[in-house]
Amino acid sequence: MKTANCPSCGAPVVFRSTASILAVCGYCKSTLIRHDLDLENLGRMADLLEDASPLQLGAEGRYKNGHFALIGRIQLRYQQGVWNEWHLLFDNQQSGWLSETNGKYVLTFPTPAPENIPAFDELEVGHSLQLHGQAFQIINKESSTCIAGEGELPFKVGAGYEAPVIDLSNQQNFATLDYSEAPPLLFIGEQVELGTLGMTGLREREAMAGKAQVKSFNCPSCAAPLQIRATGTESVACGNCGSVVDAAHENHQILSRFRIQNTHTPKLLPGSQGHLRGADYDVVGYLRRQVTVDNVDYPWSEYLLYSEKEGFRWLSEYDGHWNFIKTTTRTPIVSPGLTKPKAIFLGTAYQHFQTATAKVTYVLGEFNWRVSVGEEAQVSDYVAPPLMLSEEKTGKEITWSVAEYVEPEEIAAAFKLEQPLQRPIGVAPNQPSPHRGKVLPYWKAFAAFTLSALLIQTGFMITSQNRTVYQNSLEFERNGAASSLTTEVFPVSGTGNLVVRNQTSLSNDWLYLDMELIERNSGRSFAFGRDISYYYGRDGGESWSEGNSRDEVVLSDVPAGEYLLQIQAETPAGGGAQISDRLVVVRDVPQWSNFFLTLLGLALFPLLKWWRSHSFESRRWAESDYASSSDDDSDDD
Amino acid sequence: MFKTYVAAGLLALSLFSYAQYHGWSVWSVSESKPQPGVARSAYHK
Repeated sequence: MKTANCPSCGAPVVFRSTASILAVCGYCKSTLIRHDLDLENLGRMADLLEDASPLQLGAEGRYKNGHFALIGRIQLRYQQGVWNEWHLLFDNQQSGWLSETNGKYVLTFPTPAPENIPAFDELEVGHSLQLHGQAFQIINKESSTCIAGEGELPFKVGAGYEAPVIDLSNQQNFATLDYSEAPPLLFIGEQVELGTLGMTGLREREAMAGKAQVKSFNCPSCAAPLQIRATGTESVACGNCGSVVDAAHENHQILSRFRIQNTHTPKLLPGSQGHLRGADYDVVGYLRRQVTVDNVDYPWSEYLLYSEKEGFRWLSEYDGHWNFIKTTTRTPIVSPGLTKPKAIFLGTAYQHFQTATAKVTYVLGEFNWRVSVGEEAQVSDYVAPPLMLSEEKTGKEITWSVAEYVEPEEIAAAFKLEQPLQRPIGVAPNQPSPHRGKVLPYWKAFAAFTLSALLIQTGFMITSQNRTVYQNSLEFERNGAASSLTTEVFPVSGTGNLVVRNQTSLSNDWLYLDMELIERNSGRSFAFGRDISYYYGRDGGESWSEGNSRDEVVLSDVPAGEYLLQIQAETPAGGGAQISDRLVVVRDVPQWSNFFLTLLGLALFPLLKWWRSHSFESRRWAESDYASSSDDDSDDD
Repeated sequence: MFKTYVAAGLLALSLFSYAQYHGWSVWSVSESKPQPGVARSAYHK
């Protein structure tokens, strides 16, 4: 640590980091460059823009068991907004940077840049770049400008300092290439949540609230009252005249205008407050976007929420379906997939749903970027209900966000709406299926029942008598008249059925047998008729046949006893050879029909549940890019 | 609903066992007789 006195005001200036070469005097804001023995005053540093960052110089925290302190800050502006780069100093004198943008934090460390880094102009958003063995995707390409700085910094910087930067990310890490120096500076790290850093010495909530109070001004175009509620607001859209006003500067210039064709009444009015998923939110902005597919517009609403604790979040609403959305700096791994592309993000596989160009059609309220009606982005949605991963791609930026489906009742309760929200229409891309996880137990139970039925059937197959109790060869004259005969008495024991089989010599002929099985002692009888016919031939070169010369009939639940068969046979007229018939009576023949009928009945429940689940998934995918294709692999069951 | 299915399944298995024991079959004949000749082919002369 080195301490010196400010050459301008004499106040003590401390250099805690050996790598720091610049410090801004905390009293007179002089920009001081450290030389070996003295400090050079470069003049007064510009004022920082007021914000509601919870961070401040001197705050401390821990990252991967390393203790750090915030010793400096640079505030930068890019085309769409402002962000902070906090200079961290770890106890081992290692420097790091905590990037803070609209409540999102990325912690990076200076890393030696590979020698073959392409020039700034050669890199495009969406391209891949290998850095120290890791594949990164370029997600942002901007030229930013330093607004001001404070504390200790490891390089010379001041207001107007230009920093062309390339942001890159992959599923785990985040990287920044800073082309303000040659060769470019490389910083690699990861997205972090402030809550996981164990920060102490943060700004008091009251101080933040004081900075973040609602500011009111009049629209420079129509004088309608406008308000700024969130820190980090870059633009405010006037719902009265369609002007988009610069909110970052006191002069409130008009950035753009749009023609109000349709007035939309947001379901959540800007200014309304709610408590959702553990944080208090103000609704600050509202916009309408739409995609056009086959000349049909599909519009939806998006609400920008602001929380002092969480920063900016989004709520989207389409046909009564709501999503709570958070952006991420991590880039999922996208692969072609078997039937549709897949995105892997934090261990979850998302299926590609739709890619379309979304266009902003209406804006109202404040936004953390310079919003304009007509701006377009290519949006690709990947779903893993209840989550949805969305990639928004413009020429300069790729933004990934994670949405979670929220029931309208939760939204209405969170924002204390007096009127219930519209009931959802249809099925949303990431709407959780009410049948999810409920079909598989039915199939498992069905499998258990099938196995049980098979065991029962096997048991009956093994234990059944399947015994021939009577057999005889019969002959019938072909005389067109009825002839009758009676068999000998044959004993039948045990329980079960009795199967009567006739194996005839029919050939292009028929035989009718009127049969009656009579128990000799009780007189109980089973009467049945069998019409047996068998015809065949060739017609137009094709063979055909009809009927069968063999016949079998099952008599159910025949009690034990002494039986005989009375048979009356009717034959065709015309004479000719006799019709022979081999008559066989078998006791207790195992039947498969009951087995299959039982399985069919047992399958009805699971089939019904599967069909309902399948129908739900079909309706989900009906509005996707895969409307006509199978959704088999989307059905969890 | 699932419990209902399990109960219905156990009942179905019981009925199946009972039917097998008694030799019941959905294809067994009733005591009514078909009208003679209904299955006779149109090719019969």
